[in-house]
Amino acid sequence: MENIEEIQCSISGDKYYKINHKSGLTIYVYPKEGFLSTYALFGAKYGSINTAFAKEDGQQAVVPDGIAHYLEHKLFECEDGDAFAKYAKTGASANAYTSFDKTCYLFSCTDNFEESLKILLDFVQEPYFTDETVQKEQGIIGQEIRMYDDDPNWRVSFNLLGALYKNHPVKIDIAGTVETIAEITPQKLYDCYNGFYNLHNMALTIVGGKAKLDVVLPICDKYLKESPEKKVESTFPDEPAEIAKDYVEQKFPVSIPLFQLGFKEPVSKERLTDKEMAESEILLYAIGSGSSQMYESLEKQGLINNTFEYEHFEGPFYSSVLFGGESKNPKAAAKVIKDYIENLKVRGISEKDFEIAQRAVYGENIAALNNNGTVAGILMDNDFAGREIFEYIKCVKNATLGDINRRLNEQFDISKAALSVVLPL
Amino acid sequence: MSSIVRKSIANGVSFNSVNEERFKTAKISVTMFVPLEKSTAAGYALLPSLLAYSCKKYPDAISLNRVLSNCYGAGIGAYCRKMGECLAMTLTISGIDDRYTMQGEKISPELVDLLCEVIFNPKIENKAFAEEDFNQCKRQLIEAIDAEYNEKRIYAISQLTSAMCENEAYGIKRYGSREDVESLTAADMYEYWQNALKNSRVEVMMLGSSNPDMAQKIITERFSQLQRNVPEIKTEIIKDSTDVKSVTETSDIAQAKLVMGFRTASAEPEDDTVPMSLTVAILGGTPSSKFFLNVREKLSLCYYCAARFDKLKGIVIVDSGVEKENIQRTIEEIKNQLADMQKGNITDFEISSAKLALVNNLKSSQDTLSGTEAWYIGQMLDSKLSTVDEVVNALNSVTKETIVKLANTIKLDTIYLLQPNSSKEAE
Repeated sequence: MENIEEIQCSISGDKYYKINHKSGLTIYVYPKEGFLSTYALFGAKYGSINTAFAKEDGQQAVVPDGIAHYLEHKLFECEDGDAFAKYAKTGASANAYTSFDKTCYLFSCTDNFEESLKILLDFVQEPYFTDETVQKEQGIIGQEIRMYDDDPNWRVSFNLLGALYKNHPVKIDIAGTVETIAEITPQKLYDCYNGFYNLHNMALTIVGGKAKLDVVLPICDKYLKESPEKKVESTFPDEPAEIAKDYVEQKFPVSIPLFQLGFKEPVSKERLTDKEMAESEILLYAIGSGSSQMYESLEKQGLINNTFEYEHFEGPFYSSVLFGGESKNPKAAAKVIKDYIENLKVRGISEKDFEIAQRAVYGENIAALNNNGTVAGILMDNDFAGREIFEYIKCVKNATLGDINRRLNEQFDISKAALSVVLPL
Repeated sequence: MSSIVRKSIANGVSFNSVNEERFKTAKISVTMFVPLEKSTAAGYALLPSLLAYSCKKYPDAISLNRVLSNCYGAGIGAYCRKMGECLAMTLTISGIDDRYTMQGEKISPELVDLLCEVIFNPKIENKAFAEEDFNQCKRQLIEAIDAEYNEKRIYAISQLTSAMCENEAYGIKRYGSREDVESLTAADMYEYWQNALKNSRVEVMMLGSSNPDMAQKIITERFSQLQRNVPEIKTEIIKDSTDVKSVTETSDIAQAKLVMGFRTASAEPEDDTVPMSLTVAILGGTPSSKFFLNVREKLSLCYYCAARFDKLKGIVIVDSGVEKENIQRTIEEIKNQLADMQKGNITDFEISSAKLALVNNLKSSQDTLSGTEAWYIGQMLDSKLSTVDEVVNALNSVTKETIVKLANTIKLDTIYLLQPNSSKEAE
């Protein structure tokens, strides 16, 4: 039975619909009154970390690194031509991306929304892989990988993940390597497709001027093919609480060093809750934003510049906090951050720092609702993580200083910190 | 699209407001336009970030940042962009709209006040910026200049531009040079600040749901106290190219970066910049462009091969990342695709899909405040302001004949190559 739930937010005045479609797909429709464009995102809960899983026949499959991303590229190809060529007739701006835990296909358009949505639903449900087409992509993806090889920001991040995680596949490059993608065959692509591109394992999110039930649902009813109810089980190796190593460096043709300092959080469940995520966002703002004493101290000592960033990096069975940017002296910057956090764990976040951070994070989350693409991405992420966009804003508003200080102790353990640096040649 | 209300509020200063109820945020920006010159580029590049760093009322970065955070995470943006042969210095503040505050309080007056404080009331002592703040911002600008080399795609495009336009103001880097930044003093910056306020063209933009009267009044008062001159701003256009210049550098990288610069006969204030933007989109601006379908999809030579058109300078820049051994083949294929177009080999499908894609981008840009702001600021140096609908109509009426005619004015001028060292080959 199909059911439609309306979810409202009294704070922002926004609302959206969540539909459990008879095909097995969960659909989110988020209207944006007066918007000219509409953004649609069709995603599978399948990313670079899903390298081991049980196939349809029950056999355990281990697939080459980078195959989810390769599959994303190849799905654009249909038996009757390329999906880009079809979108070229509607004017939609289309793309796709693969991350650690999901693969998403998107378009944004101002005209011909219905036709573009048909194209999206159609090509994602119609895999077409041949030896020849799979072979052709080696050159293009090979150059994409080489481009990342030359990107010091990309390298400093993956080197850090390799230092933080011993076994979790989050440490593997999303696109794989030139060697691993050479092992990809049409059969392996079909195995992954059949396992993960089941509508029960996917979501569709639509945000914008044309995000209306009477526009979206008739197209979904017509073009979604009912998926058998089955659940693909990915397997993840056990990940110890300990880090693999506390320091990693790479020499690179750069003129200023880069660093990333990560703190690994022990994780016992697949995903964190809205409350934990909201608390983390406030906590990290209080620690690392331009309004913090830590930022001021790092900046005054000349150890960071305005490229400094922080992130709560969270996904299936992993969670860590990352600080990074350009620095003349990455080791000294890392020491200031670690000392500051160690000290903060003793004295706690102050009431004033908490209030400022809470107001700022509240404002940033309200502001994020402006953007169709951002909202569509959050809805997708939340569907896969079991979280809800408006509940999250409520958690930000209701967070207390006690919650934030509790989270500070959960999330930061100095003995689980690793530093990754990229140094000039 | 909400229409723009434009008023002159002082000599060379316009106040533009766009009433928008659709967004959760509001935005105000002040953009000062000055001619791009070698001797002043570095000072003007530093000025916006120095102004945004602190002010008399909030005398250090942390106190200013904490006020902004407390205003629900409002942010001050400061940047300096090259627009043709002009520098556009922008200071902008954005924050949530008054309708969405936690207790229904109004924050928009405070946002206007904060923006005015940083622009008009910086921390000045004895006709110089505070030394500590100045040194901090200067260090960060020098690091930003150094970091350009970290991002090879951006670095390669910047090097192509400098080489191609070495005798034109356009060839000056956005930040001037590292040496020029190093030699700046806190007293120099006082002069740059005064010059920017007094000798510039200024565009103020206010976007959001609040009434613009209060902001307009405050900003008018500030600017009308100044003795202002408005400089002439123009860009030198070179429409032809005789010899092809070639510049090669090496670096310890895996993938070669190829950038090709072309001259065209279309630039503001000519009336064919819209058809030229369509011509360049057919060549390499969309996934159904000639470059994407041939250089990438058919020959599998690269992941990206893109062409973009600068309507203020009238040049086209094409860039790609390729294996070292494929460089010549890629250059030839790019030339072939252009030559093909010049012969008139353009399908109706290529034309219609490029039109649809450009129309989609134009219309979509109105769905964000920054897109709306960029739409108008991007036209401030043009001969006239157009609405999105006007440009859409102009685009849709472009014929194949016009495209072929314009394609024939695109002339290769310079090829820049960042090549891998031999040690990185065949890894």
